[in-house]
Amino acid sequence: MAGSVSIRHAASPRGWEAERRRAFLFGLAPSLLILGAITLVPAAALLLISLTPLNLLDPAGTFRFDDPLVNYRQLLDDPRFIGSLWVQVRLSLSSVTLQLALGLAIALLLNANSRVLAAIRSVFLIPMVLPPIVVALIWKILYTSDVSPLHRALEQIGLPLRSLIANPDTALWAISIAETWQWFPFTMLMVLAALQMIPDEPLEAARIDGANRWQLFRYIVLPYIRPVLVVCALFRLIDSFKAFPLIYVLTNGGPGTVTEVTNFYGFIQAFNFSYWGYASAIAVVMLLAVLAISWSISRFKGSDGNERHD
Amino acid sequence: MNATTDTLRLPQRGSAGEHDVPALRRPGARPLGWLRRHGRAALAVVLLLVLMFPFLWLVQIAFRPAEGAFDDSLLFTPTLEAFRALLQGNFARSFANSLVVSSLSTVLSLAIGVPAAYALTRWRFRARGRVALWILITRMAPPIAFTIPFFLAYRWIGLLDTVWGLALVYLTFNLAVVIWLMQGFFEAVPAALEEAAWIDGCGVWSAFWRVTLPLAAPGVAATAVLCFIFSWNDFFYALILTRTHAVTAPVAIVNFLQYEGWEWTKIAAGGTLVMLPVVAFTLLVRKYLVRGLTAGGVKD
Amino acid sequence: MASISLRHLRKAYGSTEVIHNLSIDIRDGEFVALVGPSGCGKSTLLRMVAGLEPITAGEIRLGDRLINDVAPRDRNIAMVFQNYALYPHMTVAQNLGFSLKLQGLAKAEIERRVQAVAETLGLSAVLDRTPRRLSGGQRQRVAMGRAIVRQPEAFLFDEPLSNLDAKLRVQMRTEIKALHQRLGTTTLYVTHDQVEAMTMADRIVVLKDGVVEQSGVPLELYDRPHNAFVAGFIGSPAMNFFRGRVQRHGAPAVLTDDGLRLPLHRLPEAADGHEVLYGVRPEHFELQEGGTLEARVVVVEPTGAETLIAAGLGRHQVVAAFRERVDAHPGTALKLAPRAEHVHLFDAASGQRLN
Repeated sequence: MAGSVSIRHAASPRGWEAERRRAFLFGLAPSLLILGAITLVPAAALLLISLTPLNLLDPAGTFRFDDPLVNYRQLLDDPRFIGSLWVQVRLSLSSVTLQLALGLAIALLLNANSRVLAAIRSVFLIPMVLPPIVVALIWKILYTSDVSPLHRALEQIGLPLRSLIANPDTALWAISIAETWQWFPFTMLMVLAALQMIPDEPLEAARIDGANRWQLFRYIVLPYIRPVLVVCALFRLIDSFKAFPLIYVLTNGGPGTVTEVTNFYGFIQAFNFSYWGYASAIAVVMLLAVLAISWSISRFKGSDGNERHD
Repeated sequence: MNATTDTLRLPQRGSAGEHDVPALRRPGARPLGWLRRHGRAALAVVLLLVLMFPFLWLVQIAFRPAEGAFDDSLLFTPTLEAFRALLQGNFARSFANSLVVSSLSTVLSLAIGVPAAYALTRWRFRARGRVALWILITRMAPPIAFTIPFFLAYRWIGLLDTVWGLALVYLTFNLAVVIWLMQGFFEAVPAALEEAAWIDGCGVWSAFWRVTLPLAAPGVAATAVLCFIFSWNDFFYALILTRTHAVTAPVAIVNFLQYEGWEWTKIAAGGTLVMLPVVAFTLLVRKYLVRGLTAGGVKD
Repeated sequence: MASISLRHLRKAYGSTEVIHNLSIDIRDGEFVALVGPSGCGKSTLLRMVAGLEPITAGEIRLGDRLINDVAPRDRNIAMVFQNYALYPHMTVAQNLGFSLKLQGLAKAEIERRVQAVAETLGLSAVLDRTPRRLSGGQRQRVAMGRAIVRQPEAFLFDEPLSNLDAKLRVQMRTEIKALHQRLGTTTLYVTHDQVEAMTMADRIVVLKDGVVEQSGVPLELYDRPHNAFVAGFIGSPAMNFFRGRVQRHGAPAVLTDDGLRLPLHRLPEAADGHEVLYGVRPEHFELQEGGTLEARVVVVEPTGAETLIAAGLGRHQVVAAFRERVDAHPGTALKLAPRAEHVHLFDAASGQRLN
């Protein structure tokens, strides 16, 4: 292969080959070292701390390992933690499903050659690239009944509505909607890219055979974009674990703990109660979940990427 | 021997509605024809207005006078008093902090990540897949997992509430993005060009600097912008790891919500200012957005 | 300028050996063409001389210098790539002067040399253009100019003409050969086109599967190929081959399975009945009234300078070339006779030459 160095080479390289290998190492080493320092070391430290009941109100006294699994045992018994997992699952599932649906629908709508549509595609990117805090502000305004134009419009036509985020039954849905609004462009972009890559021939052949729009979609387009939809879903799922600004600004985990996702619960434990050991254990659990899903993404892209994109 | 070439004109894929038009040239069918031809665009515009309404609503509040923030009238004389009030306080300083931290983080990530990306591209070694996975994980890890150890470490070394400390933390996700994206861009430069440069008198990094990098410059620019955007938008790390000195704009706005009462026009003005650089940059690099957001997961 | 000597060169990728114990000597100032079918290892060999591929075993010397591990930049050789590898972000002048700039020459000197080379190659008018705005032929010349301006000890060409259209190829062939005659630099030229090799080289090396099949002056390879592979590779249209057995008694001949009796000039050093390959070049057939070999014409291709006739002879397909115009039509019969003194005989099993 042009320019490549096989490191399974039998003889030890001299001269130019050695120079090349040194050069590559020189370029790669700083990154690997720094990445290691800022990811692996903190991860190890996190694990370590999760084995202690560390409490910042008494750091010296609580940094001990006499009962390493105390936090994990507590987690299993903690109804608030279990509740937060359940909230997380509900939020992630609803939000990701809505994002996929809306993103897919809009992608299909906008998949045509026209300058108007191209411009609209660009504008639709905005929710995704806005600083998440701004998204939170936007929806804070929309959900606060005194100031929200939506609430007042509903009032005018005689359907007054209680604030969605103050109502424990609807609070999580309110956040889900806000998150859908923020992230549907991601699916839209990825599906659009995939739609561009569908070759014309199968579509033409099916049209000539008399397929209508729905059949075209179901039998030709959908199989093509299914891998992209799956990757989208996985990515969005992992990202949904990180949801913070929305909850922080809109509901602060409430009313009660109705919108308290696991990430938020960990935040509260660490920065409200100063139970760092416990919070670390929560973080470790989340990290493992992320690891599992990341690994399945890389496996999925490996197996399907080969059969599709050749 | 007479060969006539007959090209079968297949209808364009994108104009699903277009090729129906000839069949509709009946009188009375014109409005319907217009709808069929432009229905897609019309629906898209309607959707655009509906979906962009929340965003536009925030922006227009920023230009209202403080007392009449939520007047029913849709027409009003725009005023910049909210922005002026905003900049009189500490907000300008936090905005500057955001600029400094984002720029610093971008420069650091590029300086460290670009050579690494090059080495990974030209040096095929077996662990490449595992490196990709590592990159994916660093992008995906929940911030809480890193903030706890970083907070404790920074408290100890004294990097809490500093611009450098924040920029360093941002490396956790930006470095990965740089390495992932630049690999793709470097792969697009033919290795033969570097070989010619070697023969002409260059060493490995000399050829990289004189030949490969200039040709990958647009990629570097796009990557830089993406790093800037990701740094600028961060909320969680900034919330935890800063107090007063290194507060960035996203966190400063939230302070309005909690401490300075609910001055909606100022909040809206703050939000508008914070989003401006990002939206502007996004329009520049929208081609590369998907690549940046799926770093580590999807081979381009 | 210097000689290039390759000694016992081996190249292996992991456990796959691509070049086997190869030795070639190129004299100072010689133009050697390296030909062979794709996959024979000629490009790999060239890249090893350039320093772009590591050597598994053996020696490469430039003049007296052992350059096995020397970096490409220190070898004092220049290479012309198949796809030219011009720097897209530099102008023609900058492309040409790049190596000189790296050497640290004074700007005035660089400009002087670049101007001189540009004039030689007819590029003076396009010095300020970038490669994108050049024609294929111009790009090729810039690639050559880049090599020439360095005044290296040797030139390496990696199939430089294969991306050009036929007419341009013929023109550039002459130009490259003229250039070599002027500059006299040692040249190693890789190509898969044997016509290029024949017309341009002082010496040809035929390579197959990493082994040298034959090396010598073009006409020597043409007139006395050492084995059947070289015989079939060199010359266009290719040599015709018949498989048969030697007949020693009576007039020496080769008998094929389909009953053809192919005459031999003299007794070969082969036993009676030995299986051989009988090779005749298209131009060595003559029309013989009353001859025993009757061919059925399939296609007649008049090129103007000669007439090529594809015909069926027994169960064989042959191509014959005649200088004179031949009155033949598809379907007619033609009495062909090979000129026995120009026949090549090869052992059917090993391919080695027997006469």
